[in-house]
Amino acid sequence: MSTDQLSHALRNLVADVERGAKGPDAAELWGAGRRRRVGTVVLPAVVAACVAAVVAAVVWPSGVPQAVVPAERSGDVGASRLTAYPKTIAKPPFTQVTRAPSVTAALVPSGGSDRPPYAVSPEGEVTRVALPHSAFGLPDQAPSLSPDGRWVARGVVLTDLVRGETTPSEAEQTRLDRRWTPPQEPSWWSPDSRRVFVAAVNQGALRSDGVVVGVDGTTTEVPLVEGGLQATFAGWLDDDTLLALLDLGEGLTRLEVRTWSMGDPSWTSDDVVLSWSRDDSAELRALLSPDGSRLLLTAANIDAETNELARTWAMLFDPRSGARLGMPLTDGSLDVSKWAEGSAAGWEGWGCRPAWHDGLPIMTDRGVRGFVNPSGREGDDELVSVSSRYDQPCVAFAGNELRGTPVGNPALVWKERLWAWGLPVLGVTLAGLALWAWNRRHRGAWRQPPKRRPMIITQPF
Amino acid sequence: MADREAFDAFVRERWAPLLRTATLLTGDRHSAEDLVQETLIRAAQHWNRVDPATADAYVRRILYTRSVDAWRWRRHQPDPVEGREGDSHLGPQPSDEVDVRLTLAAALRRLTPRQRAVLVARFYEDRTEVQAAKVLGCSVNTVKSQTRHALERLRVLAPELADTFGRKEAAR
Repeated sequence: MSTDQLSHALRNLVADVERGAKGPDAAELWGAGRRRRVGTVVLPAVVAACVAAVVAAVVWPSGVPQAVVPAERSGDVGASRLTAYPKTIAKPPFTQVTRAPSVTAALVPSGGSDRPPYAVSPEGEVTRVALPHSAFGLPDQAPSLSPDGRWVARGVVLTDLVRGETTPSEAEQTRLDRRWTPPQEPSWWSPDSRRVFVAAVNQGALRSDGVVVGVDGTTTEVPLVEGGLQATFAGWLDDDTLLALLDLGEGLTRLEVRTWSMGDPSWTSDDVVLSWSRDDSAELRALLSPDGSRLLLTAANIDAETNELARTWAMLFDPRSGARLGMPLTDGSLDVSKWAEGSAAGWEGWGCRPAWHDGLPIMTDRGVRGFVNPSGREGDDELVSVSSRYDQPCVAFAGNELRGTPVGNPALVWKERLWAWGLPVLGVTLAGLALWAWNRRHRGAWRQPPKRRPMIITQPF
Repeated sequence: MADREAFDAFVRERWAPLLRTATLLTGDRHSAEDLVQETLIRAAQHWNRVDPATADAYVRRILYTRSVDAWRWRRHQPDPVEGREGDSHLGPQPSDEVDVRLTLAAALRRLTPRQRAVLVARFYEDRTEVQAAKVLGCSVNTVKSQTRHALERLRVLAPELADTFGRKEAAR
């Protein structure tokens, strides 16, 4: 048998192979081919459209958000508090810096002190707000947001977030900066958003415990408490009255309430004493609720060996009578019977000022959640979800309070998710598709392997 | 509409030859029918770009390419050819040539798809090396080497046909 015979044998092998077989339906084949032809055109178009939509959704410059303010915007007559707060603070990929982000519900400091903080609208839109720096290059203080969301105070400088202006004037700012050394702690806004108290120490001979700066640019010195004794400030009892606590130093924690009203020459005592059986060595902090009806005392125990915060104890008092209201519970109630214990709160971010929600304190470090987290699980009782991509999520809310209805904005969450992992996944997918397409085009089922490769690798058979 | 009619006519006329070629390429009729169907769908997909004069060559090239692609996809799975010998149309035939057919069919099934394709193009379709290279989408040298490998392999697999496969085949 020759190769001709091989040909003959091959033909014999399949000579009657089609016998009994039914030929295909040409119409069905044609229809299937047409569907594939349409698919090869439509599918890339859909993919391209999706990619374009994703890119546009993520990187398209959104500009300054047009904040929809559910509350009345503060005018010349008076101010009103925000009645909504963002349910989610997602960190956008690109945020332009502006001097006038409009009415703001929250501020999130950025990682570095020289970087502008993030301004969050009541709907959760995020921009960065340009705030003036200290005239003397001192570290910038933590920002504090007025209850109406219009003003932000950092030290003695107030910035109008609606108009983008600062007050007092630059010359006055320089003078105030020269005279006062503000602490890192945020300032205290009056409930009517008309003035802010800066617990500052004046340069030179000790003469006052701070300064009140009005949004109209006026400044008022606050007299010393009891001739200069160390006082713990708690904020504004009402629109005109400041409250401070004076440690009586008698073993157990006993704090005398002192108040000062605008225009008074000195602080006054109403013989109200707060007593609490906490360790004297604990670091005390005080915070008045926005309506001035409740006073939060926190005592932080510091581990002597590691110098780290071990535990924080919290208790609520009536600032006018000194009555113990109880420890805040997770269900929103107060347990008077356990007043001696106080709420034990693991407070990692000591330094973030608590805020208020429905008359109870909440923590504003990392996620914003109830003061006590019973399960210890991250995210439980979360009131505002703060993106983990913020370096230092120590959120300052307008008026230090979550009031009204939370406003959710799922689009912002998805925007961040897409940026965080959607685009990388998309990139990897596209790269994989490109590699697959390249391989499909170049794999050359019949091509010989390149000769430069070792035969042991390239020998296909 | 003209395309559709031309395609219908092509399917009617060329389905049987395509099935025979596909049977040799795949080793069994069931796989061959699938291969032909897939080939014709692929051809219909691009039929508007097919020159009627070269439609058969175009379709056959798809057939060869798809046969190797299908093998690539299946190579990590059990070879249906080996497991379905009873179904094969290359199985026992009641004739005098039954021994040759059996031996040749078994040997063909043990070749690689590329080697089968070369043998089919060269000896079943009686193409020259240049024509075979063109329809297979490879170089002439590849056709030569694959043919040599295939014949040597057949000689090992089917010693009783060694005279046929061992002969030096003249270039055409």
